[in-house]
Order: sequence, then C-alpha cells, then structure tokens
Amino acid sequence: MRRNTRGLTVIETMIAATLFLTSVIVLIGLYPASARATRQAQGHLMATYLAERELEFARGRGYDALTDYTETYDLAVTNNGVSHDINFTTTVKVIDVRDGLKSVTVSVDYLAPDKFNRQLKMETYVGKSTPAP
Amino acid sequence: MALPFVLLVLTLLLVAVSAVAHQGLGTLQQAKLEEFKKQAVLAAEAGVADAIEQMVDNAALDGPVAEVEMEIGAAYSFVVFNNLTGGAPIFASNGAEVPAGCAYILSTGEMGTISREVGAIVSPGAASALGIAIGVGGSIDMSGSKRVTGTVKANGDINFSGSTRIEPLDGSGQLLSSSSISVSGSTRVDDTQDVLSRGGLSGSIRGGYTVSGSDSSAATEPFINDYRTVNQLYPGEKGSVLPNPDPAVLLAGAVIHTETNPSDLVLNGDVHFFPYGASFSGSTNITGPGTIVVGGGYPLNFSGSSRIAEVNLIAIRDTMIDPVTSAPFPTNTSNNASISFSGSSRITGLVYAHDGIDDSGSLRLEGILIAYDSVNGDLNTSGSSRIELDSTVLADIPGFEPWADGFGGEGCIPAGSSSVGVISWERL
Repeated sequence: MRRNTRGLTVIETMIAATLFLTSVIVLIGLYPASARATRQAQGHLMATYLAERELEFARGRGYDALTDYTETYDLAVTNNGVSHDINFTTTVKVIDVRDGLKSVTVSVDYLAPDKFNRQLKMETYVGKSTPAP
Repeated sequence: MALPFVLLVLTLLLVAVSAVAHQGLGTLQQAKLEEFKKQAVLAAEAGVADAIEQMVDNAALDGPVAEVEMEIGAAYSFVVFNNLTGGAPIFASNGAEVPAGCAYILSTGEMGTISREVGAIVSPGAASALGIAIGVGGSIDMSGSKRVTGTVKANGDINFSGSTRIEPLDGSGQLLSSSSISVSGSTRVDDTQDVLSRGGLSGSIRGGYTVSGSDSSAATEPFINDYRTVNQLYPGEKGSVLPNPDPAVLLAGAVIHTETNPSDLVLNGDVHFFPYGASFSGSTNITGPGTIVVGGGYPLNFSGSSRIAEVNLIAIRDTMIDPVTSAPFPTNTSNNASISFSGSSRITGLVYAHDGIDDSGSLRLEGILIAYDSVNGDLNTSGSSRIELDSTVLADIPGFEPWADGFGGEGCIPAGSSSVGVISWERL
C-alpha cells in the first residue's frame, strides 16, 4: 500500500501556519508592552539624573545655604523616533540629623508614559565640613 | 519534511518573542539598577560626611562605626583608620596608604543588594586639596595626544581634539570648566570622576560619573585669579584661589642671571631669576632642586630636548624691581611672561606662568601646570603631552606656601583651624 505523504505535508503546513500566526500575534501583542517598558525606563533614568543633579546642586550650595525648594522640568523622552513630554517635579527637603549634619532628600514626581504617577527618592547627608566632591 | 521546518520556525519565533520581551523589561531593570548604584554612592558619601563631623568633635575616632539607616531605605557604615598621631604611614583594609597626621575614612553605602565604597583622607587643619594637575585662568586648547592624571580645570573654554585620557589620582581626575567643554576625538574620563561645565558641553565623552554642561556647583565656580597673594576668600566670594606668589618672597635671595641664552644649569636649591627672560636651545640639562623665574614680561623658552629634574619654571609679569639692589629691571610691561616648549621636555616640578603656556613638542610633566591670567593665561598644546599630578611641588617654592595644602576656597578648611579638612575623596 502506498502512503499519502502529500496529505500529511498539507496538515503539517497548516499546523505550521497556525503556530506561525499565533506567535506573530503574541509578538505583536508584546511589542507595545515592551516599548512601554522602555519608555518607562527612560522616564526612570531621567528622574534618577534629576534627583542626582539636585543633590549635587544642594552640596554645591554648602551646608549653611541648604533649604527646601521645588522645581519643575518639562523634558522630552524619545523612543523609536516618537517623542513624549514628561513633566517632572523635584522637591528638595532638608532635615537636621544632628548638629553639623543635614539630610537632603530629593523626591522626583512624574507622570510616567504608562499614565501612572511615579515617584523616585534619593538621599544623602551634607556636613558642615563636607566639601563638594 | 515540514515538521522540522515548523519546529525551526517556532524556535526562531520564540527567540524573537523573548528578545522583544527582554528588551523592554531588561531596560527597566537596568534603570532601576542605575538608581540603586547612584543611591549606594550617595549613601557612602553620606557616611564620609557623618564621619568627618564626628571627627570634628572627636579627633581620636578610630575603627568601625555601626550601620546607619537613612530615611529612604539606604544605609551606610564606615571605618576610620586613624593615623593622626602616628609617625609612619599605615594601611587601610583596602590597601590605601594613610600618611602620618591623617585619617582614612572608608565608607560603604548600600541600597538593596547594591553596595558602593567611598574613601577619603582627612587631616585636622588641612585645606581641601582635591588635586588639580592643570589649573588655568584662561582657556585650554590641547590638540595632540594627551594623558593627564589629576583634575583639569579652566575658567574659560576647554577644547580637546585628538586622543584624551584623564585618569584619577586620590579622588582627583575631573574635567571642569566655568565656561564650556568641547571634545573631538577619543576622550576618556574615569567612571568615578565628573565632567562638568557651566556653558555647554559638546562631543562624545566615554566614562564620567556626572557629565553635565549646565552645572552650577562649587566644582565649576571660577578660580579667583585677581593677583592676590593670599590663599583666602573674602566675604561673599566663592570658588578657590589660584596660586599667585608674592614676588618679594619668591625672589628674596634669588641668584640673578643677566644672560638670556643660558646653557646647562645646576640650581643648588636656589631660586634663579632671569630678569630679561631665558631661552634654552639644543639639548639642555637643568639639575635641581631649584626654581627658575623670568619676569618683567620676558618669556621662558625651551626649543630643544630638555631634561629638567626637580625644577620649577615660573614666569611672572610686572616684576620691575631687583629684590637685592632695589634697582629697576627693564621696563617691559607687556603681559608676555609666558613659557613655551617646542622640543622634547621632561620636567618634574611646577610649570607656572602668569600668561600663556605653549607646547608644540612632546611635554612630560610630573607636578602641576598653572596658567594664571583670565585674558592671556591660556594653555595650548599641539604635541603629545603627559601630565601627572604631584601636589607636593608647591610646598618647596618661596611664595607658594599658602597653597601647599591645596587651592583653598569654598568647602575648604582654613589651615590652622581646629576642624577637619579633606585631602582626597574618591569613589571606589
């Protein structure tokens, strides 16, 4: 008896096509999520940079001139050629740890590309005798 | 036949799917990791600040100090290797040498699973000497291949073309301009060091801890270079004072040379003053220790192959009076007290000019290079340069003693006070 190999190949091809299409659909579905995560990462990196920058400014001012303040920044994040503006608000808070030593905390609040409000905080201490490194 | 093909396609698609998923999530994880790394450094620096303040109250502080939790969840701990009363150097647990009369603070900051260390050498009454290898009141234009160990700072623009490497030494290795920084060619700065300018930054720089073209911190505060001969800030002033020797102190007891084309010299520890300038050509050997000074607006030139060991080269302007006879020197008041090298020069010591310093040959310097004036105090090099910081050279030159412990200024501790000054600060 002769086997019908052509029929089997057609079934296999259909299975292959189904698997291929399913995988492509999954891939297409994942892409926006991945792009969103990339934009979120860019927002996070920018917030980190702003927090660090504010802390350097604070140290540059020196111990005696440390004070609370708030700044806002509108910065553009570009991903795959598409630009998104993100509004960052940095809040610097100074607390006395003890005589001669102050804690400086920077909170960076921003509306992330995923439309969630996010906050990043960084902190260091500035001493009366600390030079700006 | 089709099944292997199906499996192959499926495998490739799975790889593609996981790569796409990994790209986004991986980038997000990297961003979070970056935040934790920076916070760990900030926590370690907080530990150094805490340790310094504790040492202000208790100079005998020694050994480990218990971990301190910070408000946002980071923590730091530090160890003090106290050698303030020691007679010989000691070594910290990380191998750092702690000279006699100093203490070493090794602070560890932690954020999540990330930890980072910062080390600082401190000493009572010391001025902060975050060492500057090249300090320039005007602008810097270096176009050849160059390697600098220590901080490079200018009040004016810094332009680098060709290959540039700036390496750290005891926490010093920054690239700082109160104006702008422009680089082309390969430029590499250590990952622990900052690249900061106030008026913009262009070009690609590899490395750098904080890289910013819009800085306003104390680090880029311009040098004060108003020809004051004291290392002292007046009320309301910021920044640090660029060294400027008192000519009367510098030239007191100097050996006077009226010739302008000297040959080899043995300085015998003295200051040798060339009031009409000096031009060394051919193969020159100058043996130190000692100091060569030109003044009255006349330049100091080296046009051949020069070996200058333990010798300071100083070009000051407007020095009109012979300190020995009180007779006037030539009244050339042009701002031309410059230093130039056009051959191969190997120098250990200070190279200091009130006006410009030019090198078109191959310059190797172990010491400090300073071009002072805001308008004419430029540094221009077009050859191969190797400049390595040795901040101790200022200690042995008459008139430079006020700067021997560093270029004082904001954040620095005046010498003689009972507080603690930072000699070096390094992100490890």
